[in-house]
Amino acid sequence: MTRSRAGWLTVAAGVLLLVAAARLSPVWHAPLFDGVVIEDPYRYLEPPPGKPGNPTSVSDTLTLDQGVSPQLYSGTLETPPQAQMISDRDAFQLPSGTTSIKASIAPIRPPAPVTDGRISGNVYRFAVVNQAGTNLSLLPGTTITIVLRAPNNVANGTLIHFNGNSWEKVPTDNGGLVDLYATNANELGDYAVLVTGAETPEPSRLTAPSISIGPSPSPAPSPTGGQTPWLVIGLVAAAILVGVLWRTLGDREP
Amino acid sequence: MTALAASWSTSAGQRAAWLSAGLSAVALARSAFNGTGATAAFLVGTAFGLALLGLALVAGWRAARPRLRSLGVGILGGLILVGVPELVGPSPRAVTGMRPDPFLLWAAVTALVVAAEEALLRGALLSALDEAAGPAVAVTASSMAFALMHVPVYGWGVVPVDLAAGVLLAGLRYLTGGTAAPTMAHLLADLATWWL
Repeated sequence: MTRSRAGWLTVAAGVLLLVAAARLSPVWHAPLFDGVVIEDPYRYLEPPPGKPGNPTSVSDTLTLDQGVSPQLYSGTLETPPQAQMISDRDAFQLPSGTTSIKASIAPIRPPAPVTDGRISGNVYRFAVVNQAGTNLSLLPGTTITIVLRAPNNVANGTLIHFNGNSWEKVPTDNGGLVDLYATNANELGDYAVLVTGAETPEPSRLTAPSISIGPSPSPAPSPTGGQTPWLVIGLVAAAILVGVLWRTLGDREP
Repeated sequence: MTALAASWSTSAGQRAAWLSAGLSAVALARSAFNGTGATAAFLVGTAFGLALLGLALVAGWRAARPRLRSLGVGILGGLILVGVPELVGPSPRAVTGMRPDPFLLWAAVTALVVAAEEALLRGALLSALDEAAGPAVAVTASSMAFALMHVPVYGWGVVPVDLAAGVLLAGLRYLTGGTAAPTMAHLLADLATWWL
């Protein structure tokens, strides 16, 4: 087989695989996963010793889009957000008289303990209401994507939803970051990341006293000043390397 | 299988094995040292790129002056990598924290990582595997390496799309004979995530 023929066949196989991967993925993924990864420390509503607190809440008010609910993205303010919800346009049943909707995400104290495993990180309450405060339901056949980030490097999680009486596992997609979990849900409410097994780092306690649903302070910006010289050194080194490579470039490609 | 085993070239096979081991070590080290915050992310990204580039150079890969055709093929490949998930994938999008400011620094470090990954995977490793066992094994193994190297940082959910992208990028390498085309395609796909 000639190299060119092998190339065409491989490209065709790659395109087919890419279509399949994109079609079968339950949630949207970036074209590639690469480059620079940034992840702030996880912020706990009830922080274990030595861990940061003050997780953020978010509340977004949106006007209707030609009489239907607009496309919705809402996420807490950490990097990356610890909780996100995403829906397409016209995803919610709107009571008559609805003029705007308000989407909110807030960390809450767990409404009930789990029977198997442990909740990792915060429980988040997802809600969408209209201007009168009426909870909105999803239209039949539509879903909303719920994304939760577990504490850093917790890689064995499953999303759970509180059904009013107990927690139940929901189909979970893990991707984007090792500790990022997503599901396409049929209803809003309380969601968390459940971990089972021997090692469940950075547990979230069930017994702390306070409940905080209101807006919380924004997280402090990441420190950058102290390591700036190293950053400069690294970039200069990279520039020198690229220069050397350029000077020593060999023949043209075949 | 017998023919495959018979065609296995020991020296090229050993080179591929060492490259795979080095790639695994660097990918795991990246995950372990990534830390938190923008500065750590930029530093670790730079170190990761330099380490991969060093591995590729030690293995004998050398940069070549790209042909204009290769760059054009790379741009087309990049459009496919960006366009297919946009057109046929689900529409809701989650934020994954891969776009730290400032843009120029992010773009520079991303370009370094892309160039290094292509030099190692579609340059040194694919050549060694091709020499040792032929193009089918070279495409499959280098694409699996590409997908698996991202798991420690991005999770198992990235494997299908990165495996597919790896096959496509390997195809560009065979089509053009060099790493310029896959590098260009890979770079476009990565830079596009700033706006997507």
